Amino acid sequence: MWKSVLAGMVLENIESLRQYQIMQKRNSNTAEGVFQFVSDVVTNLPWYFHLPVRILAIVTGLLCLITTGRKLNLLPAEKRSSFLRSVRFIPAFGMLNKLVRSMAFLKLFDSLPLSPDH
Amino acid sequence: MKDSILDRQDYTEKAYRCQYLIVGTGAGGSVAGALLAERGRDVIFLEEGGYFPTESYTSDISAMTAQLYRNRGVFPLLGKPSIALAEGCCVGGGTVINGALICHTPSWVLDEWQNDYGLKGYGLNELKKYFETVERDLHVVRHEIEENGNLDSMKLLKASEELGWKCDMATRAVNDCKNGNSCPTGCISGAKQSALVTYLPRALNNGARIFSRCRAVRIIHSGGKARKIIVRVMGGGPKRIEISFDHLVVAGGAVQTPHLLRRSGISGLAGRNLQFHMNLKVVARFKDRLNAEQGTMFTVQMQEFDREGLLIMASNIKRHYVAMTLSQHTNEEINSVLSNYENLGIFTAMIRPKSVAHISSRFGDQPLVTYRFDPDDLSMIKLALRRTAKLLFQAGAIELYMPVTGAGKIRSLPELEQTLDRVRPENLEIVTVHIMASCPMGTDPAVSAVNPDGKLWKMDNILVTDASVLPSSIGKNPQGTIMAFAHEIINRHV
Repeated sequence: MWKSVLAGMVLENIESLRQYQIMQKRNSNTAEGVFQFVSDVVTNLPWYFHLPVRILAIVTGLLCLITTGRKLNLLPAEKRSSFLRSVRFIPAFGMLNKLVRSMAFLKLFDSLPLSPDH
Repeated sequence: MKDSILDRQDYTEKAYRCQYLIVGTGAGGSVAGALLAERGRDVIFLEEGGYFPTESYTSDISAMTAQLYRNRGVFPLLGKPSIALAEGCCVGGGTVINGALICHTPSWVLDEWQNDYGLKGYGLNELKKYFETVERDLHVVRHEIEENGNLDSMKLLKASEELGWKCDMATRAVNDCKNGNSCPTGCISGAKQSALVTYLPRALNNGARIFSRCRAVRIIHSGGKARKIIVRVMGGGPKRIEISFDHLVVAGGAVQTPHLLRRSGISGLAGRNLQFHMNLKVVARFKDRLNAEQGTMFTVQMQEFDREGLLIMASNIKRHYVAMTLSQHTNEEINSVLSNYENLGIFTAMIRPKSVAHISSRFGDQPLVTYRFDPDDLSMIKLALRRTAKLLFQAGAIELYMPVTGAGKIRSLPELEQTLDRVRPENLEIVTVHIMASCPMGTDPAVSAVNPDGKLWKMDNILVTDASVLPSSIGKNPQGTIMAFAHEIINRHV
């Protein structure tokens, strides 16, 4: 469950980046690679960070299931964005998103080359 | 050299013995180990991270970050705002991933240490010989003015001159720097004179051994003497070894050193006074192309306000870092900024804050670091951002992106003032790479953890030689100071 939330959050954070769109045209597994990296980072955190992150992700995932009937990573982009906007009130969610976003960027931009106009 | 660096599969015995056990292979540990080995002592280094020689470095930033940094680069100092700490965790420690800046300790800081902490023998005159030794050992050179490379730094230099602000070329531990722009993820050209290519080989050539992927878990002590250390071998399944020794030198860095001491029930004072520098990163877009990626970091330092604890430098730039620095902005803004990548620079304003952190060792193997944001730091940060903006606009920047959540692009100083009026601590994006003073040296055991000889109070055979022993933060890059202190401590000891 927590990994599906992480995957959804990764997608939400990178999908509208031009770098991602270019990479996606070349390799449809870009998001999977980025998710794997972020997931490894979270898994390797000390337990007192790792555990709250997992709990927070599970709570978010359950809320998603209850309110939309689907897992976060399987939601259409618009619904996913709307759901993630609606759960911003959850304490520490902003911190989790910051972690996911930063680590996703770190991995995503390894995937060069870019088009010359970028 | 490689034969003397052991890895997980090499620990075939359960117990080892040596004369001197050094915990940590960074700036403080490597110097201590090299000096001891050269004087004929039997030395073992313990290093939690792996051994990654220069030839193994790649331009894959995420993979290198995962290899060379603690927790794959994620180590927060919890507070409002939480601060990202980047800490090296590999053979060579922080020297492998820093910007190779070697500075003398400012005279006013040394005076402060003499007056407030009673430190004798650590004045500018006494330390001078060690700075000279370190500079020779690490091939420290003053970066030269360039016409085609490091244009971000050159712009800082020119703008500082125009404003009448003191600015200088930086002194760096590099031998024929190729502007590879990979300092934070391991120098690809091998130009950076980290401990990995300087003090550690010297130690190994004199018989020392490095036990890599070995985390010191607990010091076993009795009767005021440390006897042995319990070590967890990292990676794979659970595996523990023990190492007994005559003397222990702890140099695991300003977080891990006090954590180890506290977990071992040795020093209650350790870890209560962790100090750090705050780095505020500003992305600037210029009218002209800078191609800042064709350069390296920190080649110029704006030092006009260094007494107030402010330095401004051009930082390392890659698309990764631009995106991460702008992560509080929308993806549309990031796309827009990155579409002018050749015109961008990332600049760091480094300040010496009053905020102090605390290390808690109650949560098991890893320390938890928390801090309280000192209200005075907010005005200092605002001042630092004002000065940085003034300098960058003078340098020709047309847009600035401040480390403030909710701030859009800044096109003028009045626009910045509007942003700063609204800023609250929790809106700030702060990172740190310099941590120190968690086991301060001093003459009074009530307020210091080690004595002026670097020896832990009440323990006969434990020395501390890393950034922990500095009595306070120094407002400059600390590697030179750490190495000078390590020289003095070992010279007093042997």
